[in-house]
Formats: sequence, structure tokens, C-alpha cells
Amino acid sequence: MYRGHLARGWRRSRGPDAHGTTMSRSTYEQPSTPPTDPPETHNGRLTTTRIPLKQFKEDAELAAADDPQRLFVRTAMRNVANTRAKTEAMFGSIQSARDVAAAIKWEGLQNIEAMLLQFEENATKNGINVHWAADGPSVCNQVIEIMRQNNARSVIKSKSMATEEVHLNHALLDAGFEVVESDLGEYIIQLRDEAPYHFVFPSMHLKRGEIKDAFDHKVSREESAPVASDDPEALTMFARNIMRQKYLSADVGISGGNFIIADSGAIAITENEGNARLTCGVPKIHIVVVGIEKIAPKLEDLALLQTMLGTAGAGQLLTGYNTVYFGPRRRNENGEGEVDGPEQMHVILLDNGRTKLLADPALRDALRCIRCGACLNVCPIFSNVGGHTYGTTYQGPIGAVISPPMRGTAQYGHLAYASSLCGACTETCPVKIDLHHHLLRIRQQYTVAKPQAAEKSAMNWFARTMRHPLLYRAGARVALTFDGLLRPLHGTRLDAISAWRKRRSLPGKPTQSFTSWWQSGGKQ
Amino acid sequence: MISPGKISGDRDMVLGRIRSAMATPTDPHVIHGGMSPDRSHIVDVLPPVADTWEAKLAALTERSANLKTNLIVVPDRGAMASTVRDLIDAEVATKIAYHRHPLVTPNAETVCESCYCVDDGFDKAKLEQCQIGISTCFAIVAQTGSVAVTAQSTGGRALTVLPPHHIVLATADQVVPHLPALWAKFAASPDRASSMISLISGPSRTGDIERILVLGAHGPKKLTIVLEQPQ
Amino acid sequence: MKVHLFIPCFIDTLMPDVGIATVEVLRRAGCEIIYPTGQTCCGQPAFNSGYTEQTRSIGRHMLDLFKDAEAVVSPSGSCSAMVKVFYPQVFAGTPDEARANHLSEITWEFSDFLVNKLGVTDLGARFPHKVTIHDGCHGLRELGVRDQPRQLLEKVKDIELIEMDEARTCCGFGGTFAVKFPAISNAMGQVKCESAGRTKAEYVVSGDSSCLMHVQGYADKNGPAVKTIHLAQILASQ
Repeated sequence: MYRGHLARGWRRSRGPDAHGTTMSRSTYEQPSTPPTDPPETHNGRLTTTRIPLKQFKEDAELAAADDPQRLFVRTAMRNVANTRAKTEAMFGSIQSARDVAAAIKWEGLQNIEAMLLQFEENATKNGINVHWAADGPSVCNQVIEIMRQNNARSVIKSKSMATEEVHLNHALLDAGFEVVESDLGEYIIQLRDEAPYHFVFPSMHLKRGEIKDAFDHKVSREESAPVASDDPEALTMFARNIMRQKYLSADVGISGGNFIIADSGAIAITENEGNARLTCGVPKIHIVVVGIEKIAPKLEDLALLQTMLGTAGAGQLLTGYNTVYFGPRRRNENGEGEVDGPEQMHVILLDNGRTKLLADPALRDALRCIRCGACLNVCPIFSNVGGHTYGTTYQGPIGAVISPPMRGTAQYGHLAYASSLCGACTETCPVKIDLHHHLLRIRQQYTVAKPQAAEKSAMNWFARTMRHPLLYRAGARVALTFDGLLRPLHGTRLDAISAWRKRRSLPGKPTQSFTSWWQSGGKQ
Repeated sequence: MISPGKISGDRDMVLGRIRSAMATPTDPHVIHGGMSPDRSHIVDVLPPVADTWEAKLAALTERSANLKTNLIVVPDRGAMASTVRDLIDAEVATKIAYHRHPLVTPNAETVCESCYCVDDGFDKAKLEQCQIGISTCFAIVAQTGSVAVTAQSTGGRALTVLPPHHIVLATADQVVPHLPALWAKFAASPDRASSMISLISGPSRTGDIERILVLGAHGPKKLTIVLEQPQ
Repeated sequence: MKVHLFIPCFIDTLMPDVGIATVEVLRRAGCEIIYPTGQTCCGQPAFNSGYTEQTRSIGRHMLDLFKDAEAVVSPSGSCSAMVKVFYPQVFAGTPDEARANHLSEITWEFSDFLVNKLGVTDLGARFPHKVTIHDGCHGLRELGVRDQPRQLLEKVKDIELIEMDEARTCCGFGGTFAVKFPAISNAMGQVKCESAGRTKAEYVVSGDSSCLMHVQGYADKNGPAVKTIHLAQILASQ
């Protein structure tokens, strides 16, 4: 299967946005490789010589030829779509729900400064330590500083794409700390040293046999007895048993955040497994890393935002656990109060390129994203090339929209071209981001950021021809005649449309154009 | 506790970037989805559930079946007690954790040889050994089939997620019709001072392996609600 | 009513029968057709590649050609969408803004024009074949064209309509996309064709000839044995 090629190539050393999360040294038997810094830390210059577009096309070609894998992914997406349709049918009005959800997130964005300050004030009153991080290295340094100040050694993590962006696990490992991912899908892909295939369903591309292999070969016998079989239940229980001890022994729990609630100074976290509940409930210190765009103005907004997230993402009216954290364990001066909970809670508000998106008045609404993954689920490009082909932390339509502005249009703008602009993403987005039109906007930016002289000349020639009807008519006649004359070259490298001809046949040549028919009286 | 001033990091830089970013007004061609939300609409766009016992019970029953929550409706406290005893006996459970509450205590302490009360100084290793955790709830949301628990009044954070079987004891007056009603109740309640509220919708689950549903990924494999009818 | 006809460049050169059928149907519906012979292209290839200036340059020619029109009709979802949805954005802030907005307002996709402007669904057509519908993405999502083709086809005598499960999934043509990412385009064509094949329909109908060209091209080479046909051609059949 092609995936071996991509999985092998998809290491944290590859590309400026390459990422990897890794296990604590006790469970991961191979040494880690040093992280590659994202280009922002190197004066905007790429640190690799990889050509993203060429690589993308090669990977896409391989993936598009893997029929069984494509069918597997397509079937999974169709099932999600069916479940989602049933759940949406329960709503009073799913289309109105999208309007209100979009308006709520937009209100937060339009007032983002005031909202973040309101959150900071309320959270601080609740006993939360609020920190701000401009970029990836800053987040990593701040987390490490918190660990050191508390003499902490070990971390258990729940799923957080923000921490994936900044290679946090790497930084922690290299600083000598132990890091374990508790979410089952994240745990599996870490063992395989692979990037998430889909930011909501990170291991959806894997069959049970491959998962069992990872458990057999990457988890030491000291850690656990071998897994009983490749039955999904057995595989899940294997991970569950390993994690239970980790929750109890970890010094620090690090989570992401789905919503930053401004009026309450709180963080809301959505999950199915319960691993975030445990990560944020058992260890003595809880650290949240969350993108600044996750603002929700009011606590009551969760009634709609959490249902939209669950419904759009996986067809669940509500995901298994929707938890709001208002602060560390609450006790009075006499030590009376809550029976357990962390002694400290930290929230690190992360920028890492989000302000670049914010600064673009035409793309700003992309920050409404609640990371549901619905756009991936409906995208025909995604289901035909798979999540690893994109080469970015976020895949699919939203990935193609936010990666160029956040990580460099010249480096990632090609993703905006890898789309037929069908609009299924925009149609499905629960917060009405203008996704496919943004791809067009990014294409416009790309022609400026990374000018293609040959293409530009061709476009100028095209425009000139199309402004002059006689040129157009002549050109059409010539092209049709020429194509006949050039028959011997068909299928060879000199054939201009060989790419089409390789896979498809062409329509037959008509005897006259429509315009000729019209001009000659318009009769058959 | 680390004081905020010490590791506040890049606060000024980030706020400065935000300010300069927002100096440019939004392009009118971008879809806004509305400029200011009418929050009174939230209850209308969500699945409708009337605030009657029949409607709430119907919704809760349907959702529980969908979520694989074991919902048991009982006529009175006596029936609740015997139901709990049956649940415990069925599992041949030897260790049970609970928190003190008028609903919970009598049910837990009838099987007291093996009970661990989390209110008496918390030992997470001991809690991890328990097969069943019994708690009450802050509320039950009929619309979504969710059990709302809080750190303040339903036994802390770990009790309602660590033991493999979570039994929730609730009364009819705790059932709210929908999510907006839940948040309204929460805002007006002493529980608003909790450090955590969690909406539990079914047992713990994952679809991470071939999108096949497996229960009990990390949290409870079984969620049972024993709900007393209106008296 | 007087209708200016906008025939996409590839229909003009490669599939003139679609244009001829469009004229036939509109005349049957009582329209007087005006066809500005100087028309060339709406500029979509330049627009989709990110070249706004060149798009404007081509678009201005369109604005000139159709300046006296009351209604502009096109048998193409993607080209109508280019004018209706994107011209206002392309020309915003330029001296041509008002003209572009006006042209946008009076431009109609073919099936939308028949059903919603003329109020006509029965064109007196007969097409005794099993037919499945492909919803071209631009028509579907930019212009809301979904019910209109079905309302028209349901009135066709002796037709047997069957829906394919991937009716609303992109066929993979996407204009410049097919040229830039042929492997992905082809994979998407495969999904569409296999879905059509499962219906056992003889014909795949759509309001977009560009999609049909792509689907026919794939099907001829790889199967299934299906014929593609434009909506106008079915409605013109008697």
C-alpha cells in the first residue's frame, strides 16, 4: 500500500510545518530525531529544500491510484454523512442553527481583543494563570518553565491540534520530560511516528492489523503484556489499561481547548473517550494550550456551539464529554470544598500565525473555525488523496485556507489550487466560513506571492485573444485543425493535452461551431 | 501558585498584533453569517423538547437508546434502592465508590463493606480499584440525554469518570428539557461556583479503530441512570 | 420575451449541438433569441487561476456585448455563475462595477430561467430512455440549481429518471483543476462514473457540458457504457 511511502516520508524533519508527537522514552523504543523549526523562527526562510507542490502532486498521484484505500475512506465518510443527516433532522432548523452559530463566533472575532481581556480578567479571578504566546517556541518554553518551577517530570496529554502545530511533545522530550498521548487515535499514530490523517479522526486510515502491529512492536513488555488480538475492543482495552496508570502517575496534564469562554473566564473541552476528563482532573497541574480564535462570548453559547461541533463533526448531537473548567480545585481557607482536582490551572493563549489571518480582511472569517472536520468529511479531494498528502497540521479545505496565510502563501498556496471549487465545504461548514471562495482569494494572493512567469504570459495571451472575437474564432479553428494534424504526436511528450488523453477520450470534432450555425441562418 | 506577572510571556506583542490586524475593516464580500447573534433563537434552532414530564421522558428515552445509556425509571426511593442493589449484585462488584448526598448515601452504604467515600480524603489509587462509581447529578438534559455533573456537588472530578461503571441517581425534578435550560439553571445555582461542570452523554466511546464503536475507551464502559418518577 | 444567448466557448467550438438545442427549447418557450456573435469567453479560466486583471479584461468585453440585454441565458451552470456570482466581486471598486452588478442581476442559468423566470416546466419533450442526473457544482452551490432540472425532466414523456448516490458529488473537472491535478481529477471522475454505472442508466444528464465532457471522456476509456447529454438536448427531443 502506498501509505508506507507516505508514512515513512512523513516525519517531523520534513517540511516547515512537519510535526510529530512522540511517546515517553519508556514506551517508545527508538530515539527521537531533533525537531525542525518552523520557518517563522528563521527569518521567514524555509529550512528544507523540499518543493511542496511537486511533492504534493507525487503523493496525490500515488494516493489516487490506491483504490481500496479510497473506497475505505469514502465509505467511512458516507457513514458519517448518513449519521449526521439523521441528527440534523432532529434540529428545529439546522440552517438557522448555522446562522446563529456563525454570528456567535463572529461576534467573538470582531471583538477579539476585548473578549480575550475579559477572559483573562475573569479567569484570573477564578485562580487560573493566564499566559500569552506569540509563537511555537514561546509556548514550548512557557510549558517547560511551568514544569521546572513545579519540579514536574511527566506529562499526560489529551488531544490538542494547537500543541501539534508547535511540536510541543518534541520540545518536552528534548528537555528531558516524559510525554504520553492519552487519546487512542493520537497514541496509535505516535507509536507509528505518523502525522494525523484527519484532525478529528487521526487514525482513520489504519486497519486493525496495522494498529495491532504498532502495539506489538512499539510498546515494551515492561509497559504491558501483549494485546490479545486485533479485535477493536481488545485494541482499545490495551490502550485503556496502559493509560490508567499514566493518569494516576503523571505530574502534569496538558490539554487543548475547544472554546475560550469570555464571560466566565473558563475553558470548554469536547471529547468522546474521557481521556481529557482524566487528563484535566487527576494530575496536580493542568495546562491548557489554546488558539486565541477559540473565543465564545458567553457560557450559554455552548448550548449551540457544542451541539454544532458534535453534529457537524461526527453526527453526534453531543460528543461524549463536554466539560467546562473554571479553574483549579476550589477550596476555602480551611481546605473545605471540592474533593479533588488540580492545584494549579494554566491557560496559554496561542497566536502562532492567527493574527496574520486576522489581519487579512478577506479571510478573517476563517478564524470562526471550530475544528469540527466537516469540511474534510465532504471534500472529494480529501477522500481521494487522503490526509497525509497535504503536508500540513490541518488538512482538507480548512487546512488549504488557513495554512497559506499562517505559514506562508508562497510555500502553501498551491494547496488552494488542489480543488475543483465544488463548494461542498462551504455548504457544510457549521459556522458558514466562505471556504471555497477563500481558495480563490488565496489563488489571487499566490500569483503575487509566487509569480509564475510562463503562466502569467499564457493568461495575458488568453485575455488578449478573448477580447478579440476574430482572434478567438481563428484560434479555435487553428486548434481544431492542428489537433488533427498532430495526430501522430498524440500520447507522446509533445502532446499538449496528453494528460487528458492518457485517462480520458476527447469529444469528436464537430462539423461547424455554434456561431457558424447561427450565422448561416440557424437551421440544422 | 505562579503569579500571572511571572510567565505572562508575549501579552503585549499578541495584543499589539491583534490591534493592528483589526484596524482594517472586514471585506464586505466575505459571508458574515450575521453581525450580531440573537441568542433567544438558540432554543428554537435546537431539537425541540417541551417542558413536560412526558416529553422529557420520551426524549431522554430515545437519546439513551441512541447513546447506549442504561436508563431505568423507578417509581420511588424504595425501588431505586432495590435497583441499585440489583445492579451491584449483577456485576459481582466488590469495590464501590461514592460521594455523600441524600440520594446516594443510603444506596451506597447498604453495601458498605466495600464502599469508598471520596469525601474522606481522596486517594486516586484506591478510586482506580473501584468497579462502580455512584453519584447524583446536577441535572439531566432530556434533549441530549446528558448527565450534568459538577466538581462541587457530585463527588469531584474523578469519581464520575474513573470507575468502569458509573451509576447516576436522579429525581424527576432534576430533568431539564434542553441545553439552554441547563445553562440557565447552572447560572442561578450555588453550583455555579464549581471549578468544573461536565455533560456526560453516554458511556465513554471511541471510533478510532476503523470507525467501529467501542465503549469504555478511558471513561466508564457503562453508564446507568436510575431516575425516580415525579412524586 | 427577448433573450440574449450566452454560449460558453467550449460549447461553441466542441459541442454546438447543445447550443442549438438551447435555442430550440427557448424558442418553443416563446422567446426571441439574440446571439451577439462577438462573444468569446466569460474569463473563468483566468479567474480560477488567480489572475484578476486578466479576468477583468475579458469580462469587460462581455459587459460591452450584453449591455443592451434584458435577460441573458446560458446553458452552463459554471459560466452563468461566473457572471452572476463573481463578476460583482471581480469588478468591485472599478469603473465597471455598476455594469457588472447589472449584468449579474439579469443573467440566468438555463433551467433556472425556464422554471423560475418563465414559469415553464413542460416543453413538450419526449425522451424514452433511462436517465440519471449529475448536479454540476457551480449550478448547484453557487446558483441553487437543483430542483429546476428535475422539475423539467419530470415532465418529459416516457423518460425514466433515477438518482445516483453521488449525484451531488463533484465530477472532478473543475476547469483548470483537471489540467493541473489530472490524477485527482481522474479519481473523482471514476467515483462519479461508477455511481452512474450502478444506476444502469443509459444517459447522464447535466446542465454543464464541461462536466459531461469529463464524464464521457472517462467512461469511454474505462466504462461504464453510458452516454452523456445536456439538459437542453433532452428538452429539445420530441
